[in-house]
Amino acid sequence: MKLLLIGISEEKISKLQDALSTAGLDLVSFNGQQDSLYPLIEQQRPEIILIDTSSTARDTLEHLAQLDRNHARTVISLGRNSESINRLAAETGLSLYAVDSVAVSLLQALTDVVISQLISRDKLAREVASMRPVLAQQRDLHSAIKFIMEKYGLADTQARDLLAKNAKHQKRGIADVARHLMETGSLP
Amino acid sequence: MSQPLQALEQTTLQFGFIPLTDCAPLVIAKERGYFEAEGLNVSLSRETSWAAIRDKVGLGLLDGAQMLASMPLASRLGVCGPQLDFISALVLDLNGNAITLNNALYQEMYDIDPRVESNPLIATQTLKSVVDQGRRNHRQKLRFGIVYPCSTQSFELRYWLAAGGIHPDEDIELVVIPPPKMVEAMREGNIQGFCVGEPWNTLAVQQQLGHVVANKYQLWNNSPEKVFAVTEQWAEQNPNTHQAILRALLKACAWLDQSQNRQAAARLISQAAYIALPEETVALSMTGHCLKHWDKPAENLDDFHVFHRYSANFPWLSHPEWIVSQMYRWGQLKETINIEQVINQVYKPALYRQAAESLGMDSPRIDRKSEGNIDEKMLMPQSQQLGANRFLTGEIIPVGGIIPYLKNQNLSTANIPALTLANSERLAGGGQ
Repeated sequence: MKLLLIGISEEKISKLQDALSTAGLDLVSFNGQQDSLYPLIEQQRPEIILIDTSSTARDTLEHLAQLDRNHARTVISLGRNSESINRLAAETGLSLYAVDSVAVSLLQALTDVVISQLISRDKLAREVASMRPVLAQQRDLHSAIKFIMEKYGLADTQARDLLAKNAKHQKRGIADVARHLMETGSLP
Repeated sequence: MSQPLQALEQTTLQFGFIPLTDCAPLVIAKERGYFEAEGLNVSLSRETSWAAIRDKVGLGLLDGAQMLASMPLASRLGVCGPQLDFISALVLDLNGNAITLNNALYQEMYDIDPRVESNPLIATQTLKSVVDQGRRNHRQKLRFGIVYPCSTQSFELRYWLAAGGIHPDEDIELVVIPPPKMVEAMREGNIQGFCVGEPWNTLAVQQQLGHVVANKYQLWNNSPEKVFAVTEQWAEQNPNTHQAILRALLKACAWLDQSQNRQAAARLISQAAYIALPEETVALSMTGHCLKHWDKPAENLDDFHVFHRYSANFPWLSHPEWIVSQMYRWGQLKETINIEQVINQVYKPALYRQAAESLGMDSPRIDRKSEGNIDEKMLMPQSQQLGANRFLTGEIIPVGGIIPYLKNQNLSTANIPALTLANSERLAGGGQ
């Protein structure tokens, strides 16, 4: 089954490539002029097309679909549901075309994978990145309290209190003071 | 602000447009504060294809858009794209397109008959002889660009070609290219001609790439070009907001139609956020000039763009009837439909009248008019309500006469007996 990618950035293609090829789709990429799209579609006859929603080649695809009913045509809903297609356009900036014989379930699965590769993966990476400093602070705080408890023989609450007072005195954040302590071995 | 705010259902809106001179009503309504005066916070999104406009409005990513007059109808019928329920209560403009041929083709025609310079009918007949000669010499078919398969430009180009006896699908290769890419495609020799909206014809002539052989006014005086469309569901959920939008656009169209405002309009719409071309290029057609030949001065054509006069904004139901007739003629629409029924679902004169009335503007009392029966010479110069409506080949379509009209068109693929049967009861009374 042939999947034609039109006007899609290298970056997006690299994110999609593995997942789509592994699924058994033959990927063909096109970034040329509108008029060379006519012979390309005639020769390749892709079953599915993913195209940048704002590509200037979109109306040409509409024309090809109108010239030949066997060419891929715009998919605007999957079953009665337009939610995935909506997310595909709004979040990934892609539009989907398919020949009539491709099952809706296949298109749904493809849409899910594309959204997951382009959006969900990035979203997870962003979430992980944004958690990283918070977790590091908590780790420093925990280590600093343990350090104070062991060095001065204090209870957990006393050690925490000492850090808080020091931070207030220094007009610095408690996490900042904890990091300083762990880096230098003494309170600032 | 004179209009009381009637509980707007939605105040933040996004509309799509294509970089063409007739995006002006949307731009003017925004830039001159007509949307704001209605309590609407509108942002305009420049789109790169008609398919993107269609899908984004259909999916609710845009609230409304400038559309080709034929698009809401084609979408309702699922012709040239997915089935989508758009409605339109307002026409944004009349005329505004032209057909441009490249220098080599124009010269070949000019050498046969120099009157191709100013006569679109002689031009298409001359082109016919070039096409026939080409076939005899086994030359490659001429390739012409249109902007969308079911576009007004496609129907106009086809109409002009057929008027000379040229079959648009068999004698010519039609390709779809978006408006801003059209001039480039001609420069690179990928196409020998195109039919597109302004300012792209003017730009091609200014760059000395070709000559305009016909403009839309000459093909069918004051025929509809772009409409403002929303989904039926959106219109039902947001009736007051819809009226507020229509009022703002009507004010913008009325402002745009005053000749003293045209230069300022050209300045606004030529900006980078909109058409992104030099003001001089946009201003030519906007101020009523048709630049046909780069070696000759521009001709006066006051009605190159009509935004308000001649009841331009009223969604005449006789206009989409012609569009349906062309969909049948060229085999884009094969299913037999009741034409009146479908058109009533899509174009909404009642909503227009409501908006016009609240602004104290007069509206036509009838929904359909005869087409092709009024020549500009018959009208008083001051006539504002009524415009010329002549066709290039002189045909007249009385109210209720679209099927007999279609029957008489050459090269047509329409199934006239089936259509006559499906439409007999409704149209026999002559519409309304």
